[in-house]
Amino acid sequence: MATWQDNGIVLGVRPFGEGKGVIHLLTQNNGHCTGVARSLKSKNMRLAVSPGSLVQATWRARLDEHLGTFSLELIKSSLGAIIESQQKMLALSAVTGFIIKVLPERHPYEYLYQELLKFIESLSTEDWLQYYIKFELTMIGELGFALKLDQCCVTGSFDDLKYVSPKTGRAVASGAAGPYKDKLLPLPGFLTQGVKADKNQIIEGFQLTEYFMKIHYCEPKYKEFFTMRERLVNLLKSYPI
Amino acid sequence: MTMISQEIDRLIKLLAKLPGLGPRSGRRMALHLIKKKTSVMDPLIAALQEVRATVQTCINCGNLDSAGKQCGVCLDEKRDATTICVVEGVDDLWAMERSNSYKGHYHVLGGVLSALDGVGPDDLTISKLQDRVKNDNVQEIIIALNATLEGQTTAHYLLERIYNPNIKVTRLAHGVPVGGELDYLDDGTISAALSSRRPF
Repeated sequence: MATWQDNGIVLGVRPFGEGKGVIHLLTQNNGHCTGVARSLKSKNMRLAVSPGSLVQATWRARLDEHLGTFSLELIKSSLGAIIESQQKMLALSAVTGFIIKVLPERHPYEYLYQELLKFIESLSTEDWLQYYIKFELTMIGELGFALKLDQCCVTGSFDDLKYVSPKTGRAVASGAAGPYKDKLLPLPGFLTQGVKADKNQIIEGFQLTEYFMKIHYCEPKYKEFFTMRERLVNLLKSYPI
Repeated sequence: MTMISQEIDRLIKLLAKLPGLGPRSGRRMALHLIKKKTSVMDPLIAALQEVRATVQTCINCGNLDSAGKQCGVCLDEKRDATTICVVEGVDDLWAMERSNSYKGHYHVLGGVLSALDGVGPDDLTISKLQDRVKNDNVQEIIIALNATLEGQTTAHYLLERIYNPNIKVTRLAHGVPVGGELDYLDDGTISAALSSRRPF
């Protein structure tokens, strides 16, 4: 009998038969895992399987390679913090849907788990959009396409980093950009200096991550993620943050 | 040689496909039907045939009814045609009707947006709702979608699509259920209830 217990963040659930569902979790030590959970229509389970909920999961199966079953206990739900905000709901739906499609199963991604947890906790704060962009950068990095944003790739300088090279994904200092300025992507200050971001910087952050995500994830299965993300950016442009 | 005849076996297999049933309950139901041919099976056959022949999806709201091309709710002149309640499915419409507290018209969306299942706006009846809002004299739209992530994402999207300054758009309240005790409620429900509190 294979079994483990771990904390995890619910990414999504697909109905499976009557009252059951296949749950996708991003767990702390076991990475992206799936399993069948029962009684999804019960009062306790409905909230526990909502995307973004932090749960304690016990996974059991006769053999390790089986789909297995989950027993879930809700630790914290994020639904109450986001249900009034369309932007937060779009961001969470988009990101959890994307993780399900992009992350291989049963490979530990502890850093990504911690960053997703930070993002979900930030949803009840004002700075949640900064955390969202930082999470996307972490995700790009954890999947093998990390950007190097702490040092200029031309001069080696650590200061005045204003651009990112679309070819190398490395930062470029303002003085070193020269005639290539228009071809480089803007690097928002909150990613390098830890300052509070304004609306323009947030939109620049979205453009930066989108550029690199679209290069690496252009298959049709990611279409819905980019559509939701686009709606989120359009909302940000039309409403004050 | 099998113990159960081919015909009964087929019936059991069909019954076992119904929601909430499995082979075991399928066998029990089949046996019950066979034992009570005149009192249960014949009326059931007649009812199934009648439903098969008469029930259709309403061209206006998406409800299921046997009243014709339009359902009984849409044809009822006593109902308030200026208010439309948007629900996810026919089961939600029936739940609203059971409450006996709403006397307007409905619109069945046919699902909710879902990135995971690949359900996009074109899979729902949003454009039909837009047509109704444009052509009928609608004054209020009540969005009665589930208080889940997908339900509320759809609700906000719907709001964008049907926005009209002359039409009031409302939604069902989120918070403490009738008969609920605060001690047993989760943090999310309590914070939603607090943020949508109203004067006493």
